[in-house]
Amino acid sequence: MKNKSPLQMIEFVIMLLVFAVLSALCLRTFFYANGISTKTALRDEAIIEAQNTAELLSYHKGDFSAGEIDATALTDGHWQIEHENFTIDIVATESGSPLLAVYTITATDNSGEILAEFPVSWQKEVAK
Amino acid sequence: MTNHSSKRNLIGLVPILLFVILAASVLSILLSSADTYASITERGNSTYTTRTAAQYISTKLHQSDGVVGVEIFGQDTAVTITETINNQEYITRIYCYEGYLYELFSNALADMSPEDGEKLLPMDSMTATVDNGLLTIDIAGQRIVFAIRANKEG
Repeated sequence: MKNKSPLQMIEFVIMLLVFAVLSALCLRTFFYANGISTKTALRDEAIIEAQNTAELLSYHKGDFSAGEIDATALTDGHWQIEHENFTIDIVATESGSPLLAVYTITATDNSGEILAEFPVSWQKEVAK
Repeated sequence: MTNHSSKRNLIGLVPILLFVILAASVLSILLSSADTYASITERGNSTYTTRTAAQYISTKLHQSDGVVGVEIFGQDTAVTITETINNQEYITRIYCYEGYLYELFSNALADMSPEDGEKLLPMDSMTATVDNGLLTIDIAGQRIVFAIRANKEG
Protein backbone atom coordinates (compact mmCIF):
# COMPACT_ATOMS: atom_id res chain seq x y z
CA MET A 1 0.00 0.00 0.00
CA LYS A 2 2.87 2.28 0.90
CA ASN A 3 4.45 1.80 -2.55
CA LYS A 4 1.19 2.09 -4.51
CA SER A 5 0.38 5.71 -3.65
CA PRO A 6 3.20 7.40 -5.64
CA LEU A 7 2.33 5.20 -8.63
CA GLN A 8 -1.26 6.34 -8.48
CA MET A 9 -0.07 9.93 -8.33
CA ILE A 10 2.12 9.46 -11.40
CA GLU A 11 -0.81 7.84 -13.19
CA PHE A 12 -3.00 10.83 -12.35
CA VAL A 13 -0.39 13.35 -13.42
CA ILE A 14 0.21 11.55 -16.73
CA MET A 15 -3.54 11.37 -17.30
CA LEU A 16 -3.83 15.11 -16.63
CA LEU A 17 -0.97 15.86 -19.02
CA VAL A 18 -2.48 13.72 -21.78
CA PHE A 19 -5.83 15.38 -21.18
CA ALA A 20 -4.23 18.84 -21.27
CA VAL A 21 -2.56 18.10 -24.62
CA LEU A 22 -5.74 16.64 -26.14
CA SER A 23 -7.90 19.48 -24.85
CA ALA A 24 -5.46 22.05 -26.24
CA LEU A 25 -5.73 20.37 -29.67
CA CYS A 26 -9.51 20.20 -29.35
CA LEU A 27 -9.85 23.86 -28.33
CA ARG A 28 -7.54 24.95 -31.14
CA THR A 29 -9.75 23.15 -33.66
CA PHE A 30 -12.89 24.70 -32.19
CA PHE A 31 -11.44 28.21 -32.25
CA TYR A 32 -10.28 27.64 -35.82
CA ALA A 33 -13.78 26.49 -36.84
CA ASN A 34 -15.26 29.48 -35.04
CA GLY A 35 -12.92 31.79 -36.95
CA ILE A 36 -13.92 30.25 -40.28
CA SER A 37 -17.60 30.55 -39.40
CA THR A 38 -17.20 34.22 -38.40
CA LYS A 39 -15.36 34.94 -41.63
CA THR A 40 -18.04 33.19 -43.71
CA ALA A 41 -20.77 35.22 -42.00
CA LEU A 42 -18.79 38.42 -42.65
CA ARG A 43 -18.26 37.44 -46.29
CA ASP A 44 -22.00 36.77 -46.70
CA GLU A 45 -22.89 40.14 -45.22
CA ALA A 46 -20.27 41.88 -47.36
CA ILE A 47 -21.54 40.19 -50.53
CA ILE A 48 -25.15 41.19 -49.79
CA GLU A 49 -24.10 44.80 -49.10
CA ALA A 50 -21.92 44.87 -52.23
CA GLN A 51 -24.85 43.52 -54.28
CA ASN A 52 -27.12 46.17 -52.75
CA THR A 53 -24.59 48.82 -53.73
CA ALA A 54 -24.41 47.43 -57.26
CA GLU A 55 -28.21 47.46 -57.59
CA LEU A 56 -28.47 51.04 -56.27
CA LEU A 57 -25.60 52.20 -58.48
CA SER A 58 -27.20 50.67 -61.54
CA TYR A 59 -30.64 52.01 -60.54
CA HIS A 60 -29.32 55.59 -60.15
CA LYS A 61 -27.06 55.20 -63.23
CA GLY A 62 -23.94 56.02 -61.21
CA ASP A 63 -25.39 59.15 -59.61
CA PHE A 64 -23.69 59.23 -56.20
CA SER A 65 -25.62 62.33 -55.17
CA ALA A 66 -28.71 60.14 -54.83
CA GLY A 67 -29.21 59.87 -51.08
CA GLU A 68 -29.43 56.09 -50.99
CA ILE A 69 -25.75 55.57 -51.82
CA ASP A 70 -23.92 56.71 -48.71
CA ALA A 71 -20.46 56.80 -50.29
CA THR A 72 -17.52 59.09 -49.64
CA ALA A 73 -15.49 60.27 -52.63
CA LEU A 74 -11.82 59.47 -52.06
CA THR A 75 -10.37 60.47 -55.41
CA ASP A 76 -11.79 61.08 -58.85
CA GLY A 77 -13.55 57.85 -59.82
CA HIS A 78 -13.10 56.16 -56.43
CA TRP A 79 -15.79 56.07 -53.74
CA GLN A 80 -15.90 54.21 -50.46
CA ILE A 81 -18.66 53.01 -48.14
CA GLU A 82 -17.64 52.22 -44.57
CA HIS A 83 -19.34 49.40 -42.71
CA GLU A 84 -18.63 48.16 -39.21
CA ASN A 85 -16.39 45.23 -40.18
CA PHE A 86 -15.65 45.86 -43.84
CA THR A 87 -15.47 48.57 -46.48
CA ILE A 88 -16.86 48.68 -49.99
CA ASP A 89 -14.82 50.41 -52.67
CA ILE A 90 -16.41 51.55 -55.91
CA VAL A 91 -13.96 52.32 -58.68
CA ALA A 92 -14.84 53.63 -62.14
CA THR A 93 -13.37 51.24 -64.71
CA GLU A 94 -12.55 51.76 -68.36
CA SER A 95 -15.29 50.03 -70.38
CA GLY A 96 -13.90 50.56 -73.87
CA SER A 97 -17.23 51.92 -75.04
CA PRO A 98 -18.61 55.45 -74.59
CA LEU A 99 -22.09 53.97 -74.12
CA LEU A 100 -21.19 51.58 -71.34
CA ALA A 101 -20.48 52.57 -67.74
CA VAL A 102 -18.52 50.03 -65.73
CA TYR A 103 -17.65 50.17 -62.04
CA THR A 104 -15.77 47.60 -59.99
CA ILE A 105 -17.14 46.92 -56.54
CA THR A 106 -14.73 45.47 -53.98
CA ALA A 107 -15.53 44.51 -50.40
CA THR A 108 -12.52 44.20 -48.09
CA ASP A 109 -12.37 43.32 -44.40
CA ASN A 110 -10.51 45.39 -41.81
CA SER A 111 -7.29 43.44 -42.42
CA GLY A 112 -7.43 44.30 -46.12
CA GLU A 113 -8.42 40.85 -47.38
CA ILE A 114 -10.79 40.92 -50.35
CA LEU A 115 -14.15 39.37 -49.48
CA ALA A 116 -15.90 39.95 -52.79
CA GLU A 117 -15.14 41.70 -56.06
CA PHE A 118 -17.28 42.06 -59.16
CA PRO A 119 -18.07 44.57 -61.89
CA VAL A 120 -21.39 46.33 -62.39
CA SER A 121 -22.32 47.96 -65.65
CA TRP A 122 -25.20 49.71 -67.35
CA GLN A 123 -25.93 51.48 -70.59
CA LYS A 124 -25.44 55.22 -70.43
CA GLU A 125 -28.24 57.58 -71.41
CA VAL A 126 -27.96 58.46 -75.08
CA ALA A 127 -28.27 62.19 -75.75
CA LYS A 128 -30.88 62.77 -78.48
CA MET B 1 2.48 11.06 15.65
CA THR B 2 -0.16 13.73 15.04
CA ASN B 3 2.08 15.46 12.51
CA HIS B 4 2.74 12.18 10.76
CA SER B 5 -0.99 11.42 10.61
CA SER B 6 -1.98 14.84 9.20
CA LYS B 7 0.79 14.59 6.59
CA ARG B 8 -0.61 11.24 5.47
CA ASN B 9 -4.08 12.76 5.29
CA LEU B 10 -2.79 15.60 3.14
CA ILE B 11 -1.02 13.17 0.81
CA GLY B 12 -4.30 11.24 0.58
CA LEU B 13 -6.04 14.45 -0.48
CA VAL B 14 -3.75 15.06 -3.47
CA PRO B 15 -5.36 12.43 -5.75
CA ILE B 16 -8.78 13.81 -4.86
CA LEU B 17 -7.55 17.32 -5.66
CA LEU B 18 -6.16 16.13 -8.98
CA PHE B 19 -9.43 14.42 -9.75
CA VAL B 20 -11.34 17.64 -8.97
CA ILE B 21 -8.98 19.57 -11.30
CA LEU B 22 -9.52 16.96 -14.01
CA ALA B 23 -13.29 17.06 -13.59
CA ALA B 24 -13.34 20.87 -13.66
CA SER B 25 -11.15 20.90 -16.79
CA VAL B 26 -13.35 18.34 -18.54
CA LEU B 27 -16.44 20.33 -17.68
CA SER B 28 -14.98 23.67 -18.82
CA ILE B 29 -13.69 22.16 -22.08
CA LEU B 30 -17.07 20.55 -22.73
CA LEU B 31 -18.98 23.74 -21.96
CA SER B 32 -16.74 25.97 -24.08
CA SER B 33 -16.83 23.45 -26.96
CA ALA B 34 -20.61 23.21 -26.78
CA ASP B 35 -20.84 27.01 -26.68
CA THR B 36 -18.58 27.37 -29.72
CA TYR B 37 -20.46 24.65 -31.60
CA ALA B 38 -23.80 26.32 -30.80
CA SER B 39 -22.61 29.73 -32.00
CA ILE B 40 -21.18 28.22 -35.22
CA THR B 41 -24.47 26.42 -35.93
CA GLU B 42 -26.58 29.47 -35.12
CA ARG B 43 -24.43 31.73 -37.29
CA GLY B 44 -24.53 29.18 -40.12
CA ASN B 45 -28.30 28.86 -39.93
CA SER B 46 -28.81 32.60 -39.87
CA THR B 47 -26.58 33.32 -42.87
CA TYR B 48 -27.99 30.30 -44.73
CA THR B 49 -31.56 31.58 -44.33
CA THR B 50 -30.81 35.14 -45.41
CA ARG B 51 -28.52 34.17 -48.27
CA THR B 52 -30.72 31.39 -49.63
CA ALA B 53 -33.87 33.51 -49.45
CA ALA B 54 -32.10 36.46 -51.09
CA GLN B 55 -30.72 34.29 -53.87
CA TYR B 56 -34.08 32.55 -54.37
CA ILE B 57 -35.96 35.84 -54.71
CA SER B 58 -33.20 37.33 -56.87
CA THR B 59 -33.30 34.33 -59.25
CA LYS B 60 -37.10 34.48 -59.41
CA LEU B 61 -37.04 38.19 -60.26
CA HIS B 62 -34.29 37.91 -62.85
CA GLN B 63 -35.62 34.84 -64.68
CA SER B 64 -39.16 36.14 -64.90
CA ASP B 65 -40.49 38.52 -67.54
CA GLY B 66 -43.50 39.35 -65.37
CA VAL B 67 -44.42 42.56 -63.61
CA VAL B 68 -42.89 42.83 -60.14
CA GLY B 69 -44.80 44.40 -57.26
CA VAL B 70 -45.63 44.20 -53.59
CA GLU B 71 -49.02 43.55 -52.03
CA ILE B 72 -50.51 42.79 -48.66
CA PHE B 73 -51.23 39.06 -48.55
CA GLY B 74 -52.73 37.75 -45.34
CA GLN B 75 -51.23 39.98 -42.68
CA ASP B 76 -47.82 40.65 -44.21
CA THR B 77 -46.34 41.92 -47.45
CA ALA B 78 -45.65 39.60 -50.38
CA VAL B 79 -43.43 40.11 -53.41
CA THR B 80 -45.55 39.47 -56.48
CA ILE B 81 -44.63 38.59 -60.05
CA THR B 82 -47.56 38.85 -62.47
CA GLU B 83 -47.29 37.09 -65.83
CA THR B 84 -49.67 36.54 -68.72
CA ILE B 85 -49.80 32.92 -69.86
CA ASN B 86 -52.27 31.91 -72.63
CA ASN B 87 -54.12 35.22 -72.21
CA GLN B 88 -54.64 34.49 -68.53
CA GLU B 89 -52.98 36.41 -65.73
CA TYR B 90 -51.05 34.34 -63.22
CA ILE B 91 -49.42 35.64 -60.08
CA THR B 92 -46.48 34.29 -58.10
CA ARG B 93 -46.43 35.45 -54.50
CA ILE B 94 -43.35 35.09 -52.28
CA TYR B 95 -44.01 35.84 -48.62
CA CYS B 96 -43.26 34.94 -45.03
CA TYR B 97 -45.95 33.09 -43.10
CA GLU B 98 -45.78 31.41 -39.70
CA GLY B 99 -41.98 31.27 -39.60
CA TYR B 100 -41.44 30.04 -43.16
CA LEU B 101 -40.83 31.52 -46.59
CA TYR B 102 -43.68 30.50 -48.87
CA GLU B 103 -44.31 30.64 -52.58
CA LEU B 104 -47.73 30.53 -54.19
CA PHE B 105 -48.39 30.41 -57.93
CA SER B 106 -52.02 30.84 -58.90
CA ASN B 107 -54.45 32.45 -61.27
CA ALA B 108 -54.58 36.17 -60.51
CA LEU B 109 -58.36 36.00 -60.05
CA ALA B 110 -58.31 33.00 -57.71
CA ASP B 111 -59.09 33.67 -54.08
CA MET B 112 -56.06 32.32 -52.23
CA SER B 113 -54.81 32.55 -48.67
CA PRO B 114 -51.22 32.34 -47.28
CA GLU B 115 -51.56 28.73 -46.08
CA ASP B 116 -52.22 27.61 -49.69
CA GLY B 117 -48.60 28.24 -50.65
CA GLU B 118 -45.63 25.93 -50.68
CA LYS B 119 -43.26 26.02 -47.72
CA LEU B 120 -39.69 26.78 -48.85
CA LEU B 121 -37.41 27.42 -45.87
CA PRO B 122 -37.55 28.65 -42.28
CA MET B 123 -37.60 32.44 -41.96
CA ASP B 124 -38.34 34.76 -39.03
CA SER B 125 -39.71 37.74 -40.91
CA MET B 126 -39.84 39.40 -44.31
CA THR B 127 -41.17 42.77 -45.36
CA ALA B 128 -41.05 44.27 -48.84
CA THR B 129 -41.60 47.72 -50.31
CA VAL B 130 -41.41 48.92 -53.88
CA ASP B 131 -40.78 52.53 -54.74
CA ASN B 132 -40.37 53.82 -58.27
CA GLY B 133 -38.63 50.70 -59.57
CA LEU B 134 -36.62 49.93 -56.46
CA LEU B 135 -37.68 46.82 -54.56
CA THR B 136 -36.41 46.69 -50.98
CA ILE B 137 -36.80 43.47 -48.99
CA ASP B 138 -35.97 43.16 -45.33
CA ILE B 139 -35.20 39.56 -44.34
CA ALA B 140 -34.77 39.21 -40.57
CA GLY B 141 -33.07 42.62 -40.33
CA GLN B 142 -30.93 42.26 -43.47
CA ARG B 143 -31.88 44.74 -46.20
CA ILE B 144 -31.70 43.52 -49.79
CA VAL B 145 -32.24 45.86 -52.73
CA PHE B 146 -33.29 45.02 -56.28
CA ALA B 147 -33.45 47.47 -59.17
CA ILE B 148 -36.43 46.40 -61.25
CA ARG B 149 -36.35 47.05 -64.96
CA ALA B 150 -38.81 49.76 -65.98
CA ASN B 151 -41.08 47.37 -67.90
CA LYS B 152 -41.20 44.93 -65.00
CA GLU B 153 -42.43 47.24 -62.27
CA GLY B 154 -46.02 46.92 -61.17
